[in-house]
Amino acid sequence: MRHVPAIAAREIRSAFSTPVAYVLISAYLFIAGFLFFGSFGFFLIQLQQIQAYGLHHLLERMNLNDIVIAQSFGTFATLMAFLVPLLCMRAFAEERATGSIELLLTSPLTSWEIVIGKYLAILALIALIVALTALFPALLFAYGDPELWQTLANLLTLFAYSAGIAALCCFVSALTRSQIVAAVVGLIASVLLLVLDFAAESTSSEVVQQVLRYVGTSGHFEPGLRGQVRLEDLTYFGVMALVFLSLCRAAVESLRWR
Amino acid sequence: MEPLLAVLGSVLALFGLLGLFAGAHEWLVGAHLLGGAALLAYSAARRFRRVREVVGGQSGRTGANVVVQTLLLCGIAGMLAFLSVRNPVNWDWTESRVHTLSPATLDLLERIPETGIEILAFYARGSERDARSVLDLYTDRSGLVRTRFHDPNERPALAQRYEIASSQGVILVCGGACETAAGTVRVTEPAENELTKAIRSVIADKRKLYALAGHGEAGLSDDQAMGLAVAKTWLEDENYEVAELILGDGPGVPDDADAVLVAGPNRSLLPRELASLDRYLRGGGSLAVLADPLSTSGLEGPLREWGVELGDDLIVEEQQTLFAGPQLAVQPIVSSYGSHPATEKLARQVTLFHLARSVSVAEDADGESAELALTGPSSWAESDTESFVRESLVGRDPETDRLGPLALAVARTLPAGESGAGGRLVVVGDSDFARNRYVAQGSNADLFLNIVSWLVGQEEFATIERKLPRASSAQIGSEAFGLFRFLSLFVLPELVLLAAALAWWRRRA
Repeated sequence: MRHVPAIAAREIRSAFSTPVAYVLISAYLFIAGFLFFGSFGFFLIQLQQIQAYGLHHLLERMNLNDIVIAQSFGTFATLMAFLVPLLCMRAFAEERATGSIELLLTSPLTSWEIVIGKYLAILALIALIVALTALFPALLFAYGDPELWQTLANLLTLFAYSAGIAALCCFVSALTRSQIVAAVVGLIASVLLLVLDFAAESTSSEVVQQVLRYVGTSGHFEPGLRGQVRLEDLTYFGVMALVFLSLCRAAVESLRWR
Repeated sequence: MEPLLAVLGSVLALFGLLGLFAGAHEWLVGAHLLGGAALLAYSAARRFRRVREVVGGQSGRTGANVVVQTLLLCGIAGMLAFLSVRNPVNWDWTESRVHTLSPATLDLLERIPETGIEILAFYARGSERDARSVLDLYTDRSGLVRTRFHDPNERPALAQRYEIASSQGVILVCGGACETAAGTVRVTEPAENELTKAIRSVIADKRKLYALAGHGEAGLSDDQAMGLAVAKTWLEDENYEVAELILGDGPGVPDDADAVLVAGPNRSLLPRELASLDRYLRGGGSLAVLADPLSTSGLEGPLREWGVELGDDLIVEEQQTLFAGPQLAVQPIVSSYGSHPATEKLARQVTLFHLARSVSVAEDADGESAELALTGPSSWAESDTESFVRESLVGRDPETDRLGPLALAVARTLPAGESGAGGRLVVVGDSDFARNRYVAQGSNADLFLNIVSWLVGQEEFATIERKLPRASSAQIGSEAFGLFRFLSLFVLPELVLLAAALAWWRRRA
């Protein structure tokens, strides 16, 4: 595993040497900012109305974390379901399309090192995006008094969720030479996992419901948005990463012996 | 050809599975699944020779090795997921601990009988999230709590069976399995205090409360403004059996009484009725007296013997109003409570009284005593009640009128006597707070129900404080808001795009 940092560093450099990652991050920040300030503005209007009408007892119900931060982060997670496949699409598909994967496969690097190195590079990108996202709640801390730990739970949840679907999208990228196919399939898979909860409700079998609800992603990031950090959810995202990275490694390994 | 067939088969199978979960027509699902399976099987059969060559060769052995390793890792991952679901560990990162069950609830969950509790939640799809998160806290802590969620729109027959008429979410709690709506307790707000109350209602023994009648007391079945019908319904929801008690010439308080309520009598009790109550209380019974001012019930003397002084006064309070400034009112608003099981969960809650008198513990009283509810420092006990009755005039006389805080309610545990354990007594200087017009205001219902819980020895069943997230707010001017919105929407993405341009230029160079 000693080559992993070198691969990750190479991938990060490569990501920032083309405008794609910048454009994606820029678009994400624009949409996220638009949604966040919409939510914050709505909160301030509610606050003004409460004060204007003297409904001071309602002030006890006003909560920046639930009304602004958690709502916004719920939408950010949906944005991530679109953004992460685009960030991951080039991970393996580009190498396969250009043929540079041959160089990697014939080098002394193991498949695990290649997969983990590339995955860590994507995680670094995701960490950067989450850190930039943290600027929004930071503004609330400058002008208000939201709860710190609940906000940290929101950030942790957003990161864990994105890390989980990044592993899935890496696997998809390893299956194809086309970046567009990788992005589209990754996006469909991410969105399907996001809405699986709703599909669970329409089945009558309790076992199927439980399985679908567990497999779906939304039930695993919603508790975190409310400030409830559950081992089950962290394990879920960890397991998701482990399963898809091992499948990704199998896909990469198969390129050696096929 | 074979890869195309395999892809077509996979697509058909995938949409067959999706249709299965989405509840599509059986024939459609079946056709997709069968068609997909057939195409995949045909494709595999056509490729069988190639597959055999691959599996049998060097690359096949390497591939098998990778497949085994991958399956092993997936198995370990699945096991981890299973263990994490079976052994839930949660961390509540909210300041008010809104996702943590209170000790009273945990204690209750320990006492659930082996037959268990079944909880049916009827919520429209997508609106059940809050209810699920609260109910998960219960199921995580006790294997004896089972929950089932149903959408009343999709299961109308089931909804009708359980008498679910509202489209709003409803939770039914039942001891054992829920077969019909009978015997279930309904909860409309998915909050811990409501759910715990419902669970204890279905598992606790029924307690019997008698309400004294015959002296102008508030009527149990009176649904007019000054009756007790609402309070009676809530008591029944809390698993109490409530009945009227006419002492008169009878043998006294029945043996099955867990508590007796005397709510606002306006005529004097007969001496033998007072003697019956005295015998009952000193024999270990529990008595609640809600004594209004400006009336005589004959209970003043016995109450003094039981260690409680009823003030011959009327509590007046100076209250701030929105437009008229400070006003004098005879409707005290209480937000200060003594340290007692009946009131310890009412901190920060408000209870409202209407025409109340002061109550105090007699100086020579032995046994345990506590003041339950206290008025504010701007109140006083108006001793000139005649002026108030005659002309609605009040004014504090520093010589005769005691200044607040004044006790409006006290609780006493009488010392054990020859006839057994000492009884429990609660005296409130007002009965209106429990009547239909006022009982739903503020936390009046909680105060009343907590008093009764303490009297019957179920103080652990007293109200569980409603947990709300800590209130938070932000003060930001419109200029600063506009500036930050501009920075966030335009400057930040713009900076990133400028970096993109630089990266492109550097790469091009």
